[in-house]
Amino acid sequence: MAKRVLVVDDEMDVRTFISTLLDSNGYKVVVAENGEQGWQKFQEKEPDLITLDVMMPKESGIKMYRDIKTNPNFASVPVLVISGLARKTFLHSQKVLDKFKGQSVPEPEGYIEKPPEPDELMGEVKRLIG
Amino acid sequence: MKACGQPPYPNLLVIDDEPGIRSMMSLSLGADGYKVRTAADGAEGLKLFKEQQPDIVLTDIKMPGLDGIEVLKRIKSMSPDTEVIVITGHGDMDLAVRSLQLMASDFVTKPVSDQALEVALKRAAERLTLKAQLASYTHDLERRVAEATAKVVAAERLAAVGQTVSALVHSLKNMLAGLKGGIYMVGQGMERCQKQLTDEGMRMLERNLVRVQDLVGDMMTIAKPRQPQMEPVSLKELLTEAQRIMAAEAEGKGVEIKVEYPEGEGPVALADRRMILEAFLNLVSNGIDAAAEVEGGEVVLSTAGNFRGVCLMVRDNGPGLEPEAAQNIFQGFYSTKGAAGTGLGLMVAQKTAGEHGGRVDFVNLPDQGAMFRLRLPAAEQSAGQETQEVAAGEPRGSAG
Repeated sequence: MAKRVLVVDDEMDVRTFISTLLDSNGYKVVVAENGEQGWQKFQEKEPDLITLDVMMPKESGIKMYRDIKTNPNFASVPVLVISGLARKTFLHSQKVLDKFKGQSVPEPEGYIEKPPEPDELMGEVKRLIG
Repeated sequence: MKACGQPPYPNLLVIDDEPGIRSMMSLSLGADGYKVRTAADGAEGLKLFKEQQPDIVLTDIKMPGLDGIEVLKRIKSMSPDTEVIVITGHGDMDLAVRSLQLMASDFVTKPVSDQALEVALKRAAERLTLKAQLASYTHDLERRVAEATAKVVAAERLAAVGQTVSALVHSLKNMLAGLKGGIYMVGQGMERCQKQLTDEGMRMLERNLVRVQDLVGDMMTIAKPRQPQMEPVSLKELLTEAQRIMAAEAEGKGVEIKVEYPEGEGPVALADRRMILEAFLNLVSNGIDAAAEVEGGEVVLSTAGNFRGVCLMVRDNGPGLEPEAAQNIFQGFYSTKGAAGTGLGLMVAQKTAGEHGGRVDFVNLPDQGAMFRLRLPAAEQSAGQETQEVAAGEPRGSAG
């Protein structure tokens, strides 16, 4: 059965781009426009992988990421962050939040800085869920 | 008096009309290491004071001509930090008190004992030391504050540049992603002979090219001072034009644009038509984005004016502005729209309004949504008809 990927990004063009790419490589795609919608679809559709933007209006990817990774039922679902933020910046923000909240959230399974290269993105997706 | 080396403040001026006291003090204090100058009356004393600038002055109170009280007053007004010790006769307690009120450092009574004089001079020297230390601390503190302030200002400037650059980079990365995506889609469409993919890719390319162009345009607007070409502009016409230009964008986002036309000709602004239209379109575009967040989103364009000024208004039925957004929206690169906004639109509108002697302000509407107003000067007092009052409710936020 085709693996299911949840694509969360507020930018329509990025959603279209990533969805088309995944679709043409045989994956099923579900899209969401922000963290709030993403969380809802995540629970409904039980995806095998999430590609997650960080800076989005309403609810950011940071909250959604932490909600997933601090929940034992969901923490095993791999997250591939695709963001304009540098990886270093994202990881730093996570460390600060860890300290602030007294949590220890693992690093995301994959990280790609925007704009994503099709080959790089597919490489990561295949590495994570085959 | 015991000699104990050079005193810290050795320059003394002694003013007394009695020659005996002058010579006695010269000798006694000279032996203690002081450099003593003497004057026989107030006038001579003041003259010497100006010439010599002694640290400490000893003056008799009762003297013919300028008395000690007057000498004290004048010295303190010229040089508040000079220590003045007054010499009083027995029973001159009133004068002694009066001199202390006038900021004399101390008083000694005649006949002057060496011991009393030594104590008075020592206290005067201590006060001078304290004052010098205080002055140095204050100066040092001021210097340190100035240094720290300069550092903070520099850091803020750097932070502002950094923030600007990182916001800009973020916007550009999203546009690049759109362009890359477009190229990919076109390629895939051609490879798989799927026209639909190619078309979608082309649209992505076009959209993102426009975004790059807009961003460059906005940045040019912000960077360059412009001189508006003022002419009378019918705001009624601008409403129609804005509706026409924004129709496609609104439709794409499921938002309806309504126009409330004024009666008759409506308000006329004194403005640069092109610049004002551009600024207004920014406000309309923001309104559309806000309205797109709710079901049945709509924006209403309207205008108002009176003899004081005219304005173009956009109100939307979106979620309204959060307090945090309300504080920051006029700063560049603050956007409530995530990747979709560069945060420059309102800054551009505000700058344009400012160049016209107007401003942009906004108010959260009581039921739902927000209203932005572009306020401009009226073309003629007669042209600003008494239509509805411009102030449609007190603005909660203003960027004037």
